[in-house]
Amino acid sequence: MPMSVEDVRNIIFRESSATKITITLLNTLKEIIDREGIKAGLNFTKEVLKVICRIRPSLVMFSNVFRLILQKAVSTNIKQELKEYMINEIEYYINALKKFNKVIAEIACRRIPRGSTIFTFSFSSTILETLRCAKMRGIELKVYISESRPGGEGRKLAEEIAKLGYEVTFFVDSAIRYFIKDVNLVLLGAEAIAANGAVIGKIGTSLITLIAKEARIPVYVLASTLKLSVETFEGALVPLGSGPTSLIYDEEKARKMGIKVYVPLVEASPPEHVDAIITERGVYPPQAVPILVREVFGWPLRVMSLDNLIREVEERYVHP
Amino acid sequence: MFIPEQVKRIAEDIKSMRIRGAGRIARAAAKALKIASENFKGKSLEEYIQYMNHIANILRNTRPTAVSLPNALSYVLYRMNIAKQTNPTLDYVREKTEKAADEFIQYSLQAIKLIGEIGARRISNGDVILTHCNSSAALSVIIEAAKSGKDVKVYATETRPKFQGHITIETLAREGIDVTLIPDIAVRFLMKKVDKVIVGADTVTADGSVINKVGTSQIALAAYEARVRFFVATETYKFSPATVIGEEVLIEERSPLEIVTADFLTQYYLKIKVRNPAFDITPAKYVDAIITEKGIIPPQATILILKEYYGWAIKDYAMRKLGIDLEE
Repeated sequence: MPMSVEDVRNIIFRESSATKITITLLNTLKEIIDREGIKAGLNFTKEVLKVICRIRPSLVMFSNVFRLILQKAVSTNIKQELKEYMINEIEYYINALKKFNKVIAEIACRRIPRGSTIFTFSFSSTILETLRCAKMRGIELKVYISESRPGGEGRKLAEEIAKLGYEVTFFVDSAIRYFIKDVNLVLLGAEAIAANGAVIGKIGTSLITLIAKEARIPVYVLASTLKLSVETFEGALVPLGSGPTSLIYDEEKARKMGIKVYVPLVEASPPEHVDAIITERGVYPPQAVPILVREVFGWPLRVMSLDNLIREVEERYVHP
Repeated sequence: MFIPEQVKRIAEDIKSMRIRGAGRIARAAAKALKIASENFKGKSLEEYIQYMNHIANILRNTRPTAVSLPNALSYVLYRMNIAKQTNPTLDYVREKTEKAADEFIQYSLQAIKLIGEIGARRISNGDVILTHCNSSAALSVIIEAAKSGKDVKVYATETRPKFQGHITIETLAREGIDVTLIPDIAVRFLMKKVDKVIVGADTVTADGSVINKVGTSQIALAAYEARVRFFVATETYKFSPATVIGEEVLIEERSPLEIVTADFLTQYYLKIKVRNPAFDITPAKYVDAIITEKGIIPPQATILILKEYYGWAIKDYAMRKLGIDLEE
């Protein structure tokens, strides 16, 4: 059963892991194209992009995958039916995303000294994969995790990591600086990476990298290159979303008492507070992001709006 | 030894946190000493002194880490000892001791008001202020600034695990102040919009470090990075005389049940350790000034206030803890 727009909204809002969301959306898209044809698929995608733009504009992974698929479709003459091409490409990227996580984990593992105490927060499938990999290699670790308000995803991560057999210490977000002296490595996931190497992640990311910097503890961000925000190369800022009052306070009471509530959900950490971004293509300093963009998206970068890309594909393949 | 029922009740209420907040605890302790004195049934001065010291010890042991409590006790006992030296009669010493307790209570009540008046002068029209937890001294500054006609806007953190930030926003909203609640972890994100940070303190050490609700030190760090002024508003009886003789402040770790459920603890027993420090330490270098009832001081001048106004308490500590009669 394909997802409704409401389902899409829910997963984009509630699920923390960008990779998980992207894989789920790609699976659904594939199913729709398979059952109902290319037109329904493109319409579904338009809806998804609208939802992302409205409630989680920093989520660039889905748009990036879709952009790469369509760009190839308009720039080369594809031999197969568009439907067949799309399904193949989507399958390719679903596998690629899973593979990327494993490759990143393998590389990241090599940067974790035995006996380390790691701090991490929120929920990142890449970090979980990395710790799974570390466990398989017999690397002994302790893991410190904070709640990650307002979503509280840190708790889920703590449970998953405890299940791997690592000893976890759990505390409130306010206690991060208090505990940082016990830690010798910070691992963070990301939502997007901007042109200047700024890491866009869950709210708290910039405070954590600052705390780590003060304590001279290295910070590695684990992110696949499909999180590079290509729009930022044309000067756009990554738009940052915020959540509803109800996430942290009683809406009714706030209205009655004239209390405002502000719940930013993502933020950017300056590149100078991050030691390295670990991607499926290797370990890069944040300042080397342009090199990655060139490798993945081509150079000079030509960023077509997704709307235009969809229109072009429709004109060329759907209404011949 | 005889202990009046009312004194027992106050001690119990401090212990169980029915009486909470450093100022309220200190006033309750002074009041308990006064009640004890009024109910003294003995005949000799020697007996009286012994009795009062005994009561003070009971009160002191209710919350061993809170500094306002021993400071309140020392304030009264020091004046009792002076009185004994001036005129060693029971009536005189008793009268002076009870007067000292009243003085302390009055002093404490006045202090918050004074801090508000002094601190409000440092707030400019249009300031955006960030505060953490629920501090009556910090709120006194903000409310006084608003009352004097300055337009202020406040960001208040939720303050996990116990959400004292909710008390803060409700208090400020009732005063008609523009207030916005934010998650604790969003402080660096918002710091660019903030002009001044004002927080309270639980304890200030001899070197000017500020012990306050956990999360304070990372807010101070974010403020320092953004060159935002960071103020601590606190009564001087939270300055710790014990730290002058080298004592470290122990950070109380509270129950994990404030953070997670009992089910969670059972399910992940020995796998996930939940830790709940109540306070953290902000180094003096991140603090621009401490706003006290005696004026605004740089944190490094904490020792000056301690020596000047709490010399008796330092001597008292040195004697009790080290058996040393400290040079003045």
